[in-house]
Order: sequence, then C-alpha cells, then structure tokens
Amino acid sequence: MSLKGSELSVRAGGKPILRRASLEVRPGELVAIVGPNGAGKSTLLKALAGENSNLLGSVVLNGRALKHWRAEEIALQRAVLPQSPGLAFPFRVWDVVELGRYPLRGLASGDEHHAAITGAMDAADVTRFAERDCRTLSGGELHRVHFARTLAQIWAPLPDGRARFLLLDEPTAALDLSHQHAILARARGVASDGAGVLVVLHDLNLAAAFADRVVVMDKGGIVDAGTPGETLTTALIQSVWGVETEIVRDPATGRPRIYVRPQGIAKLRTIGEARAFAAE
Amino acid sequence: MTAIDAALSFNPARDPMRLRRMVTLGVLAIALILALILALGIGAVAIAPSQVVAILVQHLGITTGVTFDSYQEAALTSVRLPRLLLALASGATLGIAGASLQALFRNPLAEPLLIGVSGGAACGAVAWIVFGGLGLGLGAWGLPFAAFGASLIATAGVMLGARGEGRLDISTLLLSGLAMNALTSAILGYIIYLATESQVRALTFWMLGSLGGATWDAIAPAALLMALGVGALVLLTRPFNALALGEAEAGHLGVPVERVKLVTVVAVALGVGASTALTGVVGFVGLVSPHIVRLIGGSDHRFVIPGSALLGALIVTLADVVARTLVAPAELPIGVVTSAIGAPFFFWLLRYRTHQAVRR
Amino acid sequence: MIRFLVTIVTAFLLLLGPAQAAPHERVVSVGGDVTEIIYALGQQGHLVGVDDTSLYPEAVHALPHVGYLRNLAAEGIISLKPDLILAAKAAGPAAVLTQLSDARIPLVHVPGEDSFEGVLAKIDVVAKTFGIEETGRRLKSDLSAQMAKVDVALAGVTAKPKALFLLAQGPSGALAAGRDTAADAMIRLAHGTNVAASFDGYKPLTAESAVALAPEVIVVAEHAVAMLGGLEALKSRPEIAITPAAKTNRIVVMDAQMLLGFGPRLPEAVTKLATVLHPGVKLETASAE
Repeated sequence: MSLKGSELSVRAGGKPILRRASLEVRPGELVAIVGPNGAGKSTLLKALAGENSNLLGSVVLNGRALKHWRAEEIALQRAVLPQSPGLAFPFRVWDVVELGRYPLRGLASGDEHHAAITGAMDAADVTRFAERDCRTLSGGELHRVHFARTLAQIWAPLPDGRARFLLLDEPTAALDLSHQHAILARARGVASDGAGVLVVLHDLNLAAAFADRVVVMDKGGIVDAGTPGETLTTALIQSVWGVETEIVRDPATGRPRIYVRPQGIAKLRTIGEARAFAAE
Repeated sequence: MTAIDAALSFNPARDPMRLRRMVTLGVLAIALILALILALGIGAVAIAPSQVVAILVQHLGITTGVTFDSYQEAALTSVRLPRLLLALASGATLGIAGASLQALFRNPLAEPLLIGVSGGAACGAVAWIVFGGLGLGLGAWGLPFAAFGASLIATAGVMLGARGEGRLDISTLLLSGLAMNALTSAILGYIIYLATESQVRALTFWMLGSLGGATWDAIAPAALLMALGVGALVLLTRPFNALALGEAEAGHLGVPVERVKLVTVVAVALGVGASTALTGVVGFVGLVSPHIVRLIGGSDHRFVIPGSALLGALIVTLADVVARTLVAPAELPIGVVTSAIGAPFFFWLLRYRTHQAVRR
Repeated sequence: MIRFLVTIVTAFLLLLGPAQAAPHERVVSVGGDVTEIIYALGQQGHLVGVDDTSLYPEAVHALPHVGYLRNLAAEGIISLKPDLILAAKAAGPAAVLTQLSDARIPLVHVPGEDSFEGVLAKIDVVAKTFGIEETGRRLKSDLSAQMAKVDVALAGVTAKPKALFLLAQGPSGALAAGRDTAADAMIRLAHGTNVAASFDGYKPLTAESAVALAPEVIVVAEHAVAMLGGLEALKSRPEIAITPAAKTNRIVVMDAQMLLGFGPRLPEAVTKLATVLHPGVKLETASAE
C-alpha cells in the first residue's frame, strides 16, 4: 500500500516543468519535497493528487491506478491542501471544516462526524473561530481552517484497512512561527497514526526537523532523496540553491540544522549595483 | 445527507447557527403562507378572507354559511388560484436557479440571464409564438418545451465554447454567456422584426413579464418541468458547498465536478425555460433571493437552496399582488415590479458587497 | 360518455338561450370601434368598463378602463361584474380570454374587415346582441347614405395621389403603414395610392426609402406628432424633408382613432382624408350623427 508516482512528466506552454519524476509515499512516513522556486514541487504534488490532465506517467494509489478509482473512493483515502485555498462564499469556519466530511456522508454516524470535525479543529487550533465568518480571518488563520478540513477528511482509519494519505502544498507559508511547528507536528502525528504524508516545504530546517525522508527537486527533476541527514548536505545545497551553509547535528534528535553563511548570499545585486548595471 | 436528515439529527447545543437557519426557514415558510392568504384575498375583485375559505372548501364538498357571488368564485378559482400557483412555482424555480448558478460559477452575481438561459428561453418562446407553433396542436406543452429546448441549445453552445482542454472553465463560461446573450438578442430582434404588429404588442408585454396568462391548462405541464429541474438541483446542495472551495478542491473531496456542472446547467435550463415560457422575463429574483438568504443564515447550500426557493416564491407572490392592484382594474407587468426592487438592490450589491463576497 | 353528456347539456343550454336572453345590463367593451358602435346605437348606459383604445366619444373617459385591448387582465374585468364582454377581433391575450370563459362570463366577438362592409357587419353583431336590430338597421342606412355622398363626389375623380401614412413607435423614428393595414384600406377608400404598399404591416421609414416612395401627401397620426417632437420637428427630419409632400407642404395630422378605427365614424373619416388627398373636389363634411 502506498501512493506512488512513476516517471511523471508535465509540460506547460511547450516547456517541461516536471521531468520523469518518481516518488513513493508509504503509510506512516512524512516525506518533504524541497527545492528552489520553479523546481516543480507543487507540480509533482498536484500530479500525485491527480490534478494534471496532461500528465505522462502513472500514479498508483493503494495498488490501483488513480484513474481507475472513482473520485469519491479517492477522497476517502487522501486529502489535499492546496497552496492558496479559495472560498467563493462567506462560509463559517465550522461549515468549511465540515466539508471535509463530504466523502464520508452516509458512511459515518452523526457522532463520528461531530468528533472528527471538533477534533480536527482542535488539532489545527481553530476551535475558537468555529462560529466566525471565514472572511474575517487572517490569511494564516484561514489556512489552518483548510488544514483542519483536510484532517477531518481522513480523520479515522478506513474500516477495510486501506492506507490514507495527506498532501500538503506549502502549509507553513502563511503561518507564524509557532503555528508552523504546530502544523508540522500535527502532520507528523497523522503519519504516526498510520497515514502517509507528503509536504511541500521551503524551509530546509523545518524539513530536516519533521521529515522522515526529504526529496530535493531542481529544474523539474528530482535531484536527491533520502533521510534528512543523507540529503541535506552543504554540497547539495550549494549546487541546488547556490548558497553556502554550515550544517550541525541537533544534539537531541541527531537531525541536521542548516545555517546560511551571510557572505554566501551573493546572487542578488544591491540597488546601487543594479543601477550601475542598467546604465552600462 | 439532505436538509431533512440534517434537521432530524439536529442538536441545537452543538450548532447555534443551524438553529438560526431552521428558524429562518420556518419564518420564511410562515411569511409565504401569509402572503398566499393575502394574495388570494387581494385583487380587483374584493373577496373577504372568510369568503376565500368558503369558496375553497366548497370545492371539497363542504358548504359554509358564508355567502359569495359567482364573480368572486370565478375570480378566485379561474384567475387567482392558477396565478398563485404559477407565482409559487416560478418564484421558487427562479430563486433556486439563481442560487445554483451562483454556486456553479462561484460568483454571487450570477443570474440565469448570464449563461444565456433566459435569452435562449426568450428566443424559443418568441419563435414558437411568431412562427405559429401554437397551431401545431401540442397544446400547453409546446411553449415551455420550445423555451426549454432553445435555452438548452444556447447553454450547450456556451458550454462547448467554454470547454478548453476537456475542462469547463468558469470565467470563460461567463464570457461565452455574454457572447451568447448578444447572439440571442440579435435573433430575438430579427424574429420581432418578422412579427406582425399584433404579435409585437403581445411579445413586448411578454418580455416584461406577467403572470396574467396563468390558466389551469397552461400551468400543469410547465409546473411539472419546473419541478423536474428544481428536484435535480435540490439534490446538489452538498456538491455546491464543496464547489465553493474551487473545482480542484471539490474534486479532491470526491465531487464528480463535471457531472455536477452538466446536471446543474440542464436543470436550470429546464426550470427557467418552463418558467419563462409562461411568465415572460421576470428579472432579479434569482439574484436577490439567494443574497438575502445568505446574509441571514450564511452560505451553506443546504440552507441557501430551500431558503431561496421560499424567498423567491414570496417575492414573486408579493410582486404580483402589487402588479395587479396598483393600477386596477388594469395590470402592470410583473417584471417592472421585480426590476424596480431588484435593480437598486443590484447596484447596492455591486457597490458594497462584491469586494467582500468574492474574496478568495 | 362524458362527451355525450356535455353535448346534451350544451344543447339544453342552447334551447334555454333565447328564453333567458338577458338584457345585458353590465357590458365591458373591448376595442374603440366596438365602443363607438355601442354609443352610436344608444346603448352606452349599459357600459361598465372599456379598454384603453376606447377614446371616443369624450364620455368614455369617465368609465373604468381595463387595460390595452391586446393585454387585458382577467380579474380587472371580472371585478366589474359584467354579464357580457363585447370584444374586437384583436382582443387578447388568448390566455386571458380562456380565464374569462373559465369564469363563465359570456364573450361576444365583434369581427369585421377593414372596409365599409366590415363596419356594417360589426353593427349587425352589436345590435343583435342587444336585441335592437331595428336601431341597427337605421344606423346602417344612415351611414350608407353618408358613404354614398362621398362616392358620388369622388366618382369623377381619376387622380389617385400618392399618399403615405405614418405612425410612431417612440421618439426615434416614424413607421410607415404598408399593405394589409387599416391605413392602407383608408387610403384606397379615399381614392389614393398607398406608396408603401410594397411591404406588409408597419416598417420604419428611412431616408432612402422615403426618396424611393416619393409621397405627394403625408398623413401623420396625432399621437405620432407629439412623440416625434411636434410638427416642425417632424418636418425637419431628413426622411420627411426629402419628400415631395414636405416640399409642397402637404403634411396633415389626423386623429388615428377616427381614421383607422373602422367604426361608425368611417364616412366622416373617409371624407376628411379625401379632402386632404383631393383639395380641388367639393365634399360635404359628413358627420357620424
């Protein structure tokens, strides 16, 4: 049982934005995708979610090709949190989280639904907003509400034992420091609970701290994959991001911690330099 | 889970908003019943409430001591009752159609007018009248079917035009609807040019909307078609909720998005086509009803859809009372009344509400 | 079986019909021509309501109005408690007529061609409905005598001036009356040629078609003059100014209801129009009564 993409390629506007990427997420693990802007991280996550219609390659969910599952069966097995979730109408927070229970309508009792919704809201720390109109929330708060929705969707193990998966596209981008850690800790908890979790992250330290495996992408392809300790090396970071770093082991966890050297950030010109460059 | 199931498993302590929604629906239902009593009693022919009851129960074989004359009975049973049923059916249909299109387009400004449903229905009905479809012997079924057929063709054309890479893109759909409306109004103009002087007079009145044409023979088939369309839309309340998140997200929740879109468009064409065939163009009901309902009880479509049906029926019933009493014994076109209320509301909406409502 | 019963009942009612020939005390008249005939027959005392096209005589304005004849509203009519509705051919819409028959209010259609014979036929129907056939005959012979005078006066006239009749739809432009219109019939009755007879019904008049039509006389409906901004504004419109009629100043304004109504004022209307078309011919001014 797993969520497995093989040889995934996507072209957009005639250019390849994902090249022959293969990735497998197994139950119980948290996999982080990292990489610079435009590396194809979100494209890979969307491909595994079945969002791309012009996708080459195959995606297999729990032993069956994604396209052979019915939409509602897929929804029972995996939830997706997009980078910028939309909301067309002024729903309450409770209403949005409740939407996560849509695939389980008729499959769970009223009490089970209620427990899942309140549990998910607690886990995402949005319980105190429950009755509020979503339009009155900040961007980060709203993001947590949608996170709660995805949690509610895969809240309990499936009766037939099929594995559940949670795909999160940059869930920490809009969050404050404490909620960044809280949300990833919660995602870790979901993995410990037996689900497979795939997270797109920008912050290498967050990836190093929470991921079982890190997948490094650059220019549409997968460069390296493995435990944080194996993949996040100064050499790799230098070659992918062009940044000089120093890496130490966290004495408590043994996981790497990455410090960027200030003199290593040389890519952006100062305004004065840019002006001089433009004048030439 | 339908609204009824939800109501049965309801525990007010858990969800205060749900209590508010149920109270709102209850109040709307009571208001509608009061409006019906008012509408039955008010009109050019004066009929006291006791006489209304006496006439109605007499048809059930019960005689009362209340006296009434044959004109009162005729006005009530031949004119007001069918008219009231038409007001209820078309009002509820327009309210639900508006709410459904707004859910589908994820845009609170959507109206049946936008995707060419109304324009197509108008073309179909006008062509049916001008080209002598009335002589085909199809009776009361012909006109609503012609309107439905034409609105479906128009809507299907719009959807084909908007379908890129196998998916239906909503913003392209809105623009295609705009183009289709330009086309239908051109066709409409041409048909009217071909029409005789007397047909033009009949058509202009019909385009302003009127419930004056409600006869028992005419409303039965149209009401059946409206019920079919509304019945399909009522089953889609939860998919509509999911669609508010976006099409991709609704798909991730297991909503068969393409099928929901198709059913919605066909059902709306069916309901609005049948309604427009009998009443002409009655504008803004589909815009105003869902909005007010949302302002009171939030955006959950399990509430918005039944609420819009009740409020739409209420608005059309009251607007018709105004239309037939203001200049009695003559009558105003009802479209004039609904637009007089709806257009200022629309402006207010554009000015003050859209920037909040469509925030993404 | 039901059909059989209905037939029996209908036959029975038909037998009863003449016996209970009610004196029609409360009548709603729909159509200006019908109303004028009712007045001409002296039956106006029975009128309880008229439609918006009933504009003559002045006294009709005091009666309740039930709306435009093609857009009647059933309940407004029922509220007047009529025991009879007399309706011109154009009365409608059909659904409202159905509602009225559902309400079992007797409705008598008063059909009639746009011709003098048509007027006589309408008088027959109305007179018969009120049971005053003799009065009807007198009115008919009176009108026939008036028409005969016009015919005699015009008998020797061979010229058929090219005339154009204009209505207005709104302030934007004039509509020319083509073939199969009341205006066309009137122009022919007054020994004129309708220059717009090449098309059906009413069509917008453009500057180009005005040049092609080249009318010698233009007759404009009274309400159209007001709608188009007055007679001077009308004369300065390019499509009007370009015509021979404008150059010789033969643009006349006439009461459309009298001219096109095809009611008892027809001889008077023909006389007036003929006077305009044939200024040299001596015509007595006929009057309806």
